[in-house]
Amino acid sequence: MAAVPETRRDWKAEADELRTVVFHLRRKLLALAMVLPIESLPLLEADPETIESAVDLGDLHLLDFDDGLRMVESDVATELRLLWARLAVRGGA
Amino acid sequence: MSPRRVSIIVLCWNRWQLTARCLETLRQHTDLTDAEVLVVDNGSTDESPQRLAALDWVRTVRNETNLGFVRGNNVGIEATDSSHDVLLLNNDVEILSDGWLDELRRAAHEAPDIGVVGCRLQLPDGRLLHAGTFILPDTMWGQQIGALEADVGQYAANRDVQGIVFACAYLKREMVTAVGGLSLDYESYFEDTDYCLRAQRAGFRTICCGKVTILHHEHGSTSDDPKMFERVFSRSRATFRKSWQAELDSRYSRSIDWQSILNFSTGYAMSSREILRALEAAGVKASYSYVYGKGTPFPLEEPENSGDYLLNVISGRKATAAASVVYGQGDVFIKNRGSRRIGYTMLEVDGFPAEWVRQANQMDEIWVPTAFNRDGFLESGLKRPIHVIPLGVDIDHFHPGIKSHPNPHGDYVFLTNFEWGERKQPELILKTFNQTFRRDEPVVLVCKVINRNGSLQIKKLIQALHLRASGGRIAFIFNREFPYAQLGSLYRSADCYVSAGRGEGWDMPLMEAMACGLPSIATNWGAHTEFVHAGTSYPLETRGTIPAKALCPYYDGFSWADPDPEHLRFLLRYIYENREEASALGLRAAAEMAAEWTWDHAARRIVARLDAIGA
Repeated sequence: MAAVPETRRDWKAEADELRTVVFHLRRKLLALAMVLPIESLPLLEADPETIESAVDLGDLHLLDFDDGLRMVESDVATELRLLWARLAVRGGA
Repeated sequence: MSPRRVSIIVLCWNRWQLTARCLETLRQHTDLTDAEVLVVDNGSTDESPQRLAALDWVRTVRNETNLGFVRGNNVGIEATDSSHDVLLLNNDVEILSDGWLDELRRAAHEAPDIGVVGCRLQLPDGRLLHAGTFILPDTMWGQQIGALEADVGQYAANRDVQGIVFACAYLKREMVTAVGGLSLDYESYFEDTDYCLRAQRAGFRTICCGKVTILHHEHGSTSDDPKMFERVFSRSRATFRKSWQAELDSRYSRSIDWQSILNFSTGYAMSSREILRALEAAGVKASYSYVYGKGTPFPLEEPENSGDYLLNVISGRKATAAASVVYGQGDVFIKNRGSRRIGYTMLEVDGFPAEWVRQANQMDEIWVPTAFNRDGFLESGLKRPIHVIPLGVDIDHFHPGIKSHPNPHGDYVFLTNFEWGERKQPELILKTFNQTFRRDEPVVLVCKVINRNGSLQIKKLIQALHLRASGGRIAFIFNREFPYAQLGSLYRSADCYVSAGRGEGWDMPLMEAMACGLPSIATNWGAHTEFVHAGTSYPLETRGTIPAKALCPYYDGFSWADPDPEHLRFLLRYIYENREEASALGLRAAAEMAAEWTWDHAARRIVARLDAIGA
């Protein structure tokens, strides 16, 4: 944890750092808005509970779900490496 | 008492770089307090003689010419002290870890009748090369057990084998005294199996020590020259055939014709493969033929190549046995062509279809793997004798020492593995898990799912469950086919296995997970209760039975379990919060699987039954 700012200069540095974080978050949000389907855009302004009810599992756990009948020959090490990476990308992992 | 002193014999011929690497790793990883290193230089003309002379920790014996593998090693054996054990080591190996010699020595002295000890050999690319060898009298062509499988730590136990590759061979002195050196009938190839068989004839066993793995570069001096290889190999093979054909043939004391399925990804096929391997090891000469195909419920033609040498040989044998087993669904029993006709089957509900019973009543006897199925068959009208012949599990590939690929983030991992369908009731585990945990908890459910049914859209089915985004996280491995030898690695990468289906005919994935040492949740109803109990797993209570409604026509009119979601929820949370207790339970499961439920056990039951009917 960062040390508590003690001087005016420290407070200013802290504020600048937070502004930078907000700046990057805004950029990510704008980038997200550009790639989201149009019908999903209102969700960006919705409250968390509305988002929760509107987003089904497909948006989270099924992102990489390759539905179909084709059996793919693979190996355990590769698939698990991909699986753990997918989980990490989705957050909370 | 100090351990028996060992003379390590390294045979070399030119290629100093190989020898140097071998000796370097040997010195790095070997306590030479009770060992000496003896290099037999087989007439090298490169820098080897000078380099060897500079090594004061190595004793060198020089042959003026290249005497070949057999004579070269015999020169080394003759140069050892007669009180020492002997270890033959190729110069194209690398020792990988400390303690290897102590492990081999310990294995050799575990029992007085152990004479030859080999070890696991690994290729430089990480694949397994060898965990013992065998030669079938049908072909007289040596095979290396485990060859080219991804090395996940399989064959980790000390196992009796017919032979070993002499790239690394620990020979106990008592056996060397009784058997002598390598046979001079061979220049190279087959001399190692010949030696192991001679040791056996003298009363000594050969084992492969699973605790030791060394790297083998396979730079044999003849295999690099195809013409020379062909000449030496053919001559040695002919010699071996002359010496051992009759003895290898005489090892079969019983025979059986196995009509089933082998070369598809089905439960019957997978277990057929294991049963045939176990029967071979038990001295039962089995032949195999495909029981399905045109005019049967599974009309596909079977590919000829099983991808496995032993199984291909068995498939090529003629059916001559008195006893013939049809191992498959009961509506193909009628295809049994033996004089003693046996039908071997299982089903996931509490009874058997009328057609299965009709055909079963035309057999001489019926086998089922569980008492659950025996009772169901009898209640459905079976009139013929019925015997419980359990299946088993491959503890060489499914054990707690198998390599894992754990979640690097440290989440607790529940694993389930099934083909999507009514019987497995996937919605139960998905919904219950999602409701039991929160998204921000370090726990995840990994579902390995197979779907071969074109009428099902799995993604839509999952979306229809309306799982909460804030609930427990679920990840899927969908329609991925893994080499069977690697499956243990999947189980070992999880912390707990869940089998919450409505009914099982056996539940091999559950048994494999248990053999790997995973605690498991398993529905407390059906065939698998034969091996599932509270001492080794967490039985999932049911709310009774309900009519079995499914696409599968065999279930019509029968019942299966209705697992209790509340109890599943309780068990998931309980195991997550009591993981040490769960882990201990998993290890007890692994011990019980190894002690009572291997394929060797299954083969012994079949042998006992064949003996009882005089087949």
